[in-house]
Amino acid sequence: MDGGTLEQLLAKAKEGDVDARNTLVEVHRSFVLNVVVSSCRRSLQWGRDDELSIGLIAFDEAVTRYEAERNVPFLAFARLVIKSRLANYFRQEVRRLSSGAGVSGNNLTDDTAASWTEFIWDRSAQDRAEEIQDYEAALSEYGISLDELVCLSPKHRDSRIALIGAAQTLAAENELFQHLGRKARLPVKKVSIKTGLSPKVIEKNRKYLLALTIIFRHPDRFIYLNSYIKK
Amino acid sequence: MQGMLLKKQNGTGIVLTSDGTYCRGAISEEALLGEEATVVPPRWRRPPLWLAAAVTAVVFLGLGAYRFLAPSSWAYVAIDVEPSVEFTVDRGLTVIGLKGYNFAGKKLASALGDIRGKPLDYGVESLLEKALAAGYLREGEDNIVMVTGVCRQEDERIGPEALANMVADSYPVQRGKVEIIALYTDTDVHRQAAKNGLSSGRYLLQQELKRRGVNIAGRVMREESLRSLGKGHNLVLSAVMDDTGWVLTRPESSFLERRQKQDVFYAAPVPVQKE
Repeated sequence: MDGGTLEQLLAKAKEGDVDARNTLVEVHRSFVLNVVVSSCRRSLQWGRDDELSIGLIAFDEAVTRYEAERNVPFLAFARLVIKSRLANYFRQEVRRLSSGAGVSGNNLTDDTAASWTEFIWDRSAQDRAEEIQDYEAALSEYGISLDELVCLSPKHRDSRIALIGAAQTLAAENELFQHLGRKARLPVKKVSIKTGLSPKVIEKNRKYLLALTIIFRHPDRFIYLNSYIKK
Repeated sequence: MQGMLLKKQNGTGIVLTSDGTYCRGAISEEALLGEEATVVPPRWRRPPLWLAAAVTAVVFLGLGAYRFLAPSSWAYVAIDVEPSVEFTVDRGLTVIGLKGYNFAGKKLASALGDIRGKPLDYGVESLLEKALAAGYLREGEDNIVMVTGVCRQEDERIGPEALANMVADSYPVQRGKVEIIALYTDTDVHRQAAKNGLSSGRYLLQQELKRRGVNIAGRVMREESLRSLGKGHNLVLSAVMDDTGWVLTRPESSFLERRQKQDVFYAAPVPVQKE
């Protein structure tokens, strides 16, 4: 789904269009699953695990509370809301197990809800910083540093556009990316065939291409970076 | 340049612009990681033409001066006894380099120390003295010294006769027969010899013996003393090298005789070697 459709669906959902809201939730089920799994650090199944239901409810809540003018990508905001709701859930679970009391639920007063929302927006700054640190760590797994990317960035705009396109193609190719994971090196010939770029260009811009591919390969992990680069 | 801040350190930062450029530059203290920030890339100005021309001129002048002032190798003089040592000399026959080709040669060259800047005859004299002290030349025994000259252009001072006389003049052994074989060859042979890890003299000897059907392995040719090479293969080395060089011999004489008169070397008639 491209950004335009997401924005349109969001706008409609916020205006009260139930179908648009349902579509939005339905389309982002895998996103919710990824966020919840990364928080719980175990495999989960729809219909079996409460955490996934909480994630879906939190996503729906994010649709309600999202403010586009805050300049935070919607998915980043939704990720924060889901993580926050899950954290609440885990706290309550621990309390319930230790005291034997029932779950009080997420019913908040209006004031508390407002301050909680404000907290989520403030948290986004930290979330951005964490994403950038995560990106730097992901780069280092392939032996790439941000400092060298400064020198390796193509000077010409056309080259950059071509390489961004190639990185997107590469990110969508599971087989190519698996090869990359195993060997930590781009299969130049295969990439050349897939992207139409000459092997020489690919070899010359290997690290730059890889740095962009990492961003596009993990849209749920590098939400801010994905939303920032013009594709 | 505006972009998402990826790294911040000591007042500079790296941003990723929306069109995919990773850019470094000065950044404000308030900018936070992951937020959109503006960096000011360091200015790069094209150097003025006159500066480029001046730098080029200085480089060329420097190279010219270096070529003019730095000593360049003019000739190579190799001395072979058991040790194989080669002197590199400039046009004024001043030593500018010393190289040992075999184990004994390397040992002797290091014992000789740094003799760069000294005249060639001083170097040859010192080398022969060290060879005597180390037992490579022995009093009262038959000794063979081979000296080989290689020069970039024809130079009488590096010719076989001159080199043979230079060795004879500084020959330190008082008693016993000695044969000084002086050879001259060209730079191609010198290059080929160096490639095979041999001094030019030993290489010429190896090739000559090969021509006569005697094959001696490179390692043996490099490490063996000339005396044992001759004895081992029943060869008169001065005869083997016949018309390619110059031979000086000193016949065996008693110590008492020698004390009364000056050292005498004879330009030997080349002995006939039965093939």
